[in-house]
Amino acid sequence: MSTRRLSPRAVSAAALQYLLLGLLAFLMVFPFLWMASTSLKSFGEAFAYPPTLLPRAWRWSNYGEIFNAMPMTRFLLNSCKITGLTVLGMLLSCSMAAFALARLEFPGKRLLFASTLATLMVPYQVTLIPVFILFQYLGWKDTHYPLWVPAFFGGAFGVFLLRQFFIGVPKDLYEAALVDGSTPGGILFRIYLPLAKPALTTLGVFTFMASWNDLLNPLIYIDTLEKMPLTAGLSFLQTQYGSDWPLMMAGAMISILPILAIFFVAQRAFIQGIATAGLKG
Amino acid sequence: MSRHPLLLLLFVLLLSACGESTSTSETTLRYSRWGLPEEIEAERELLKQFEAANPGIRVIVEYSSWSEYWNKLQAQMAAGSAPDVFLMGGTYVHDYAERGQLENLNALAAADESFSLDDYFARTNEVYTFDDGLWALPRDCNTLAVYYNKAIFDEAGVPYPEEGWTWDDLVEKARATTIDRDNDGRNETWGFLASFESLEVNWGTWVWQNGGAILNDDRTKCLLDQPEAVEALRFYTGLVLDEKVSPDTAEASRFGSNMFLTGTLAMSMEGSWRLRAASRIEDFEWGIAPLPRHKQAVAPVNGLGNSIYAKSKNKEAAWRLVRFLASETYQANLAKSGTSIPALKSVAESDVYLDGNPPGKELFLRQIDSGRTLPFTTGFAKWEDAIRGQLELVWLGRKDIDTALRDATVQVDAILAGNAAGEKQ
Amino acid sequence: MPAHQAVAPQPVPGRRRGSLARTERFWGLLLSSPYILGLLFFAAGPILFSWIIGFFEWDSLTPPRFVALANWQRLFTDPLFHKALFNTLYFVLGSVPPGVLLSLLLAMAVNRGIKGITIFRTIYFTPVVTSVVAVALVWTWIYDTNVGILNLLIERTFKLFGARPPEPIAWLNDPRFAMPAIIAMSIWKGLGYNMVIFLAALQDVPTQLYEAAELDGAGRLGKFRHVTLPMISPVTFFVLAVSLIGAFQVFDQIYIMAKDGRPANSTLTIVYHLYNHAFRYLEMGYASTIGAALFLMIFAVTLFQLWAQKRWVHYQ
Repeated sequence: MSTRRLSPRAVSAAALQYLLLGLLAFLMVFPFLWMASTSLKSFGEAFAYPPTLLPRAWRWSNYGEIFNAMPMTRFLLNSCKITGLTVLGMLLSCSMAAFALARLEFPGKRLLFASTLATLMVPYQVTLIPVFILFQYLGWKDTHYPLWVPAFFGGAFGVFLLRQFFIGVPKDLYEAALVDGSTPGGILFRIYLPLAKPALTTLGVFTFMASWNDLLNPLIYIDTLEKMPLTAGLSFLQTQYGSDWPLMMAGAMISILPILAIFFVAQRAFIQGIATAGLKG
Repeated sequence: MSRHPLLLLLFVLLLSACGESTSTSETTLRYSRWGLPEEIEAERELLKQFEAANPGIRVIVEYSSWSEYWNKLQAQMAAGSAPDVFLMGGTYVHDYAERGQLENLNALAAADESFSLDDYFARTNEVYTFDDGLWALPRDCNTLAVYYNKAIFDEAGVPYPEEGWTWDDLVEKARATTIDRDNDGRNETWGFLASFESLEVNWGTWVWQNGGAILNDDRTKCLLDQPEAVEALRFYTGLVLDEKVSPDTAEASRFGSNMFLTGTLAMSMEGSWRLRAASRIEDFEWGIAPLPRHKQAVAPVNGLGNSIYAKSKNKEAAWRLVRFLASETYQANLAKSGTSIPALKSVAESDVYLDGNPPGKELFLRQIDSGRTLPFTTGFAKWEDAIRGQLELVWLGRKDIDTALRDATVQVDAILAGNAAGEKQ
Repeated sequence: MPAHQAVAPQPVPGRRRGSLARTERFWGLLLSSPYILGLLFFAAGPILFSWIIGFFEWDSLTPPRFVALANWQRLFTDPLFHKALFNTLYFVLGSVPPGVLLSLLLAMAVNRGIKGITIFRTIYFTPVVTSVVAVALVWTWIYDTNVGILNLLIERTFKLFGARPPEPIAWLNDPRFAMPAIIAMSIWKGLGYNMVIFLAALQDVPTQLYEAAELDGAGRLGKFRHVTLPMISPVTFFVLAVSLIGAFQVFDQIYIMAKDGRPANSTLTIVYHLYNHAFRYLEMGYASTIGAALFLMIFAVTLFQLWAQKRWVHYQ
């Protein structure tokens, strides 16, 4: 988009544009705002009717209470380690396999693609027990390994996603580079990955989110509170007999803000996507 | 990762510990429970006393969140690696005991002269005593009370519920405390909450109070189609459908199962375990009253226990741990935490439990004495779901109570007979 | 794989073609080897196990008992499974097409360089990350029969046009409306997710293609039809396929918002049914059969998509 001289028509068009975007933004962000506001309310106010938009008294102590009740620093460190390794492993393995599926011809390729789709179609509820037994057998009890090691072997979602993006990259690029004497591996890392930055960012953000927000796996595989990642650790606030909503929402805020921050920052890659688009074709 | 060699060392230690008598070398016990981190931390401190008294035994407390506790335990059992000791509830105890996952504690209990089951509430013992076995040592004891909001009662100008009050009193009070302050056709406060959610907390009591039963004595047949049960549940659903003193499910769901705590409910039947959550209420005064009686005064009694894994390699040590969790030291601590009623009678009846807010906790103990154990069986979750499904239709106004209970009875009977209707050939 | 994808570059001389095939075979296997190992090790075993155990009666605790096709026969006579099947198809058809379309529109709306657009994108992404319990509670309020915003809006709209407002609808308590209500919430929650994927795809469309189209006199709609749609079609196929696969396995929304598939099993889905049998009723064998049946269904739908995509997906 180029900046133009502003005519009255352009101004009103822009205003309309922002009005629509803003209206939509309100629809999308409302529950988030409720969550933020509830995290600062007293227990009684959380369910008051009519609901109060802003807390009557801002109870920042809700957050303090969480930090007192939980080893938050440990949680954060664990989350960073697990999520960092997961994202790294996922991007690496998925892009390699996806490139092979998108551009290279090798035996078993069709079967590999079909298997990729197939693994997405099995609900985790039926594989939970066999996978659990497998990890026990590997001696991964109460360790972080079940949470990040599999990422280094890729994932069906990521492979499928990147394959579709790589297919969209003009094939002439690949062929030209081959003629210039590059190896397929070199082409992947020097040409395809830089071009696929928006796609890699997307997968990175999604993997980050999935790993950071994962409740089930940490709760099943980890037995020690100090080894829990953030989101799973905070789920201990939820008890069998109903929950302390303000505390729970404060916990949810703490675990969500990093994802939003990452997403906000990651969008730079999208802008770069526009800039590099000129190189293509 | 740096801990790896250490774990290996531990493993070697563990291996070397095998086969030797537990008193001379280190035994590691794994003990799993759900709960808030602060509760589990407090427990860790307590367990240091246990370790001091039992040199050579080390206890590792494994954390589990309530949301995944049972799924995780099932996966661990499937892998043959469940903890040595774990928290057990009535819902699944039959399922696990029948499938050989729980150690029968009878022999261990008989060999321990310091232990007598008679020191614990009989009703809780009953939850874990069946098929010639004792499948868990009682930990705590639960019953219900009517929690009432004094502010709403004062506003309506009705006396608080008291000992000996009846179903009719309940209706009368509920009518008076169901209030539409601004006459907009929508109640600001509700008198009572009648729900089909849970046999234990919601609908089971009424059947018993009316002289009916949910299952027969051998728990092989469902009796919900009998007149006493039908009549009781007709009264109960009537609170929603006819008297309109209880919100329907949609209305109640707006409060995320916390309706009483939010101050919109005048009376609510809640577990003794809710005292702790209620103690956080700042906005209004509240009290507890016994359950309203009808033909008889009965309250449901339940309780958690601690089980030993049948495949545990350290059953002697595990026994000492479950014994400790049922001991006076542990039970007194449980009493102080206010989460539940200790299963050990001497502690529950002492000031350690009875003192403190709210006054009148004796009513729980009286109800336990005259109470009734929930009719747990194998497949309890399944047949409770079936009844819940039928009762829901009544709440929605899509089925009358007679038909619903008749259909529920057929389904429950089929499940109890081990061949659910239409599921097996 | 579509035929035009096979690597047989015309300009490469014949002598090099053989060595190129070797190179590709080598690199293809090398690059995908971690993934292949992972599939074999972490996925294939457990999945095959679950398919096999579907022919057994197994409580996950005691040794399984072979029952041949008994579990499969049970599927055909299990009324709740039929109900769940119907509800799941309802959910898939109701949520996927509008969800994909709306997220594409949303992605196009935010694919512009105006000031503050990153903030809007972040805001549109918040439903994806907002805690499910918070989302469920807020939507329960929106749908509330008496005080819900939705019924209020309907009432106001009717009054605005001088019409008599209808009886308030019990969105979550009426079996006719519960599924649509859950679908609307799911679409809302998933919009941001697919928006990001589409956004990445839109960013990848080379700008000179638009310029060329402009030179040819294409208008906005023309550019969208002849440039944007074909260029993002591989990703559209991905979004469609993955959304369908995901929608067939809908569980979380039901678990949190419509416990037990309420009301009256009108929101009971296949995976929820499966979960009950696997973990509440200790019938892992039957649950695995349900899982395998679901797999076959999704597989058939995806095969159809793979066949159909050849007609609309534009591969470079």
